[in-house]
Amino acid sequence: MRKATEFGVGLTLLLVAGGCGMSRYEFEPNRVYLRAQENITRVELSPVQRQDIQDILAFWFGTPDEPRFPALADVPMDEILDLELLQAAAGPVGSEEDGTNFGVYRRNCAVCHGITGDGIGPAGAFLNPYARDFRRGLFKYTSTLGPMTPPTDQDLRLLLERGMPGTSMPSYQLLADRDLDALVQYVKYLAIRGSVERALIVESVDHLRDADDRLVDVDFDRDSPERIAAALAELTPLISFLARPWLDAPSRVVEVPPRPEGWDSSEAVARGRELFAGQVANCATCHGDDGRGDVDTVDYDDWTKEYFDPQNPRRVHEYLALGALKPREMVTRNLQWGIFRGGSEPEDVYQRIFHGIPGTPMPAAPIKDADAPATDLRLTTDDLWDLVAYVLFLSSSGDLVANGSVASSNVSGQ
Amino acid sequence: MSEKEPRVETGEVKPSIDGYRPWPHRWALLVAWTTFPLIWVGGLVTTYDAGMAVPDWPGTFGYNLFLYPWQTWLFGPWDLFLEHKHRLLASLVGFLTIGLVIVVYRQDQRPWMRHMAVVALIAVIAQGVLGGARVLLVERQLAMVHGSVGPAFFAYCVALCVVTSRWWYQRKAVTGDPNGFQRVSVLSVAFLAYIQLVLGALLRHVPEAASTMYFEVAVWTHLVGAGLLLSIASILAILMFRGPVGDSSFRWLSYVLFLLVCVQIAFGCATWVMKYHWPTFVVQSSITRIYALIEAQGMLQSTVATAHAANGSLLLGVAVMLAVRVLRVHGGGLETKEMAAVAASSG
Ligand code: HEC
Ligand code: HEC
Repeated sequence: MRKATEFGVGLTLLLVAGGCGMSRYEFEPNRVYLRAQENITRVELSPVQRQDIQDILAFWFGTPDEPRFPALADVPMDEILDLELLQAAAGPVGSEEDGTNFGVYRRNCAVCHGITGDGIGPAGAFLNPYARDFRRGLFKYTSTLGPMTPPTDQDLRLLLERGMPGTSMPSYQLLADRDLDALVQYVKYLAIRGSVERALIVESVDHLRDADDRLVDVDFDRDSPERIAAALAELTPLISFLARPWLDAPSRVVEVPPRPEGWDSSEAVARGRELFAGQVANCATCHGDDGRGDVDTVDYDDWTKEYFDPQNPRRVHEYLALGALKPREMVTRNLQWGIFRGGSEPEDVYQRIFHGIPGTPMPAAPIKDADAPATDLRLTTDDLWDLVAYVLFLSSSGDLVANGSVASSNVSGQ
Repeated sequence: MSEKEPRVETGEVKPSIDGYRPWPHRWALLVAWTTFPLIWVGGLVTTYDAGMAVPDWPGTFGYNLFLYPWQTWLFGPWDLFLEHKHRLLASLVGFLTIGLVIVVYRQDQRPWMRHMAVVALIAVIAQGVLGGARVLLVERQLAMVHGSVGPAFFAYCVALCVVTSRWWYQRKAVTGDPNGFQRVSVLSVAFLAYIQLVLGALLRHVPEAASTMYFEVAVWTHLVGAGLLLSIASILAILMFRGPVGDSSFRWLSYVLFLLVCVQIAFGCATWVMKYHWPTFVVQSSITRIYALIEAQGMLQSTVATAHAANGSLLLGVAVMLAVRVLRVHGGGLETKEMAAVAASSG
């Protein structure tokens, strides 16, 4: 028994000590992306050059405990990010007597999304799909035009409130209003910071030819902040370029047209079914005629493809060693389940079909311009509504069987 | 009790000790039953991450703990409510433990029993200070230690209940466990139940900056622990069902233990699913439709997680009770010294 007790004490100490070592809260460098870029350009950055990237980032964006952002001449950063809310989301968990919370991100999100927002929090490896890596600034469920256009604050806020059914991303509707706003700000902050880091990496591998070359010639420990800021001025266009889309996002929102009369009638469903299987919309190639998604395709999302080449799977080990998560296949959704990660209102589904799902194989539907000739085969907004009707019809399983309209109506999925 | 009773004599003998006084046992029960909800509330504090809801200690927002305005407490934010309740309940356990020491000193003559009571007091004070340090130093690892000492204290209280009980006095050692299997298995169940609680606390308090490796190791160890616990508990229950046991209570205690382990595993799975969603191997099936959306800090999620933790402590309590009883009956050793002490006291 004494042996067992000793073992127990040992194990406990080990785990506690292990835990202690890990309570340093720092942003992790994006090693995986750096290596990917190095491999593409066949340039290897020196330790000093790597450290420069982190120092520049820390100078501009601060730390997980003290976030900040630089003031730019051309883009009003304080219209994109709210410093006060950012500070409420950052730092260690705590609260005040009146219920004001601090460290909301660490409390709620970091187990999955990680301190850095890389999607590699402690529990990250267990999730399927993996938690979002914010650092690309790429989001799936947006209302804005163009796959690279960031979401609006409203998009992110809605997403947090309703969560993502069918994934481990929870709904946070029970959180206080201010906390939700703070989280939205913090997600944007991590996304902008992360994409600036990526830009700095590209900048470095593209321009630094010699091991002694540096992005900026300053000493981050000794030089005055003014001197550093002056030296970094030539790099700030990178931030402007990456931050401006966030400012413009609200103007790129595509309004969902009102539901047409009889949008969910059986005729609409029939038309939708036709379109779904047809050449133009082409949904069935991935989702199958009956929407069950059991078509044999193997694909990966864009976050994974960045370090994983399905043609050359063995190379991934190099990235796994740097902390990348094991690649997981992108699963085409079984639409009969009726679980919509981006929301299950008809308008939500409309948006998914209209915009596609950025970062995944699911493409934006080809839409006809208003003044296009009749010979133009692309879809009209009414066609999209028919597709919505069919998609929602697929998941209302009861009707499906009764109708016999779908060949194999095994509703339960697999 | 079973009719085809063992060939081996049971430990039951006529009450031979007139000196038995019930009050130490009653106090010990009181302390144990107050500690149980304390662990429960402590668990809620972690579920809701309310540990830092009151940033000072031992005061509450500058007030003396007991003078903190009850309106603000009851109608204030939920996490403040929890944390303050936790502190009040903890103080109550503290006072009750002081009472226990007094009662034991006045009524129980066994020297080791008196030491045990004093140790309980020291433990409860240390645990309070640990909780305070966790708040003042804003240190999550301390929260973990605090979280693992809690159940240990509870286990200790259960042991106190057994050794102060009339049952303890009425049993004498028998040789029903020749190769020590009962002793080894009950002790390992109690030990495993405790380790599982600690690992569980570790999973809940996982530092946000920890690596995926750290979390994976903790999860797998917890699962292996659960498997071991289930195996030992079922073997124990089967053996108690089939063979001579030494004392009639062993049998039903081992059944209860087995049942609690099963319930605990079910709660554990549910806790995982409600926090991290379905594990990879079920993600592609239609079961996942049943519970598609996680609601963070929702009623369901918190209730299940807390039930898992509370049932874990209950399991530990029952395991300790069984272990101490088995040691009493099959342990030998203690017997003579203690009888002498009791005899001295009553004489
Ligand atoms: C239990 C794990 C978990 C927690 C906790 C969690 N998330 Fe997520 N989150 C996910 C997963 C998994 C996804 C990706 C799902 C997918 O790709 O379909 C995700 C996706 C997201 C997205 C991307 C949505 C999009 O349109 O692409 C955002 C933004 C997000 N989470 C924010 C948060 C915030 C803010 C918090 C804390 C309040 C949080 N998450 C907490 C698991 C989690
Ligand atoms: C190239 C393959 C492909 C094509 C073509 C495609 N999809 Fe998808 N679709 C996907 C994948 C993959 C997902 C899952 C994305 C994810 O999990 O993030 C998906 C998801 C969806 C979803 C779920 C959205 C949500 O909120 O969860 C809907 C609805 C959908 N597709 C409808 C359609 C319709 C209608 C069409 C035809 C206009 C279509 N898809 C064409 C691959 C495709």
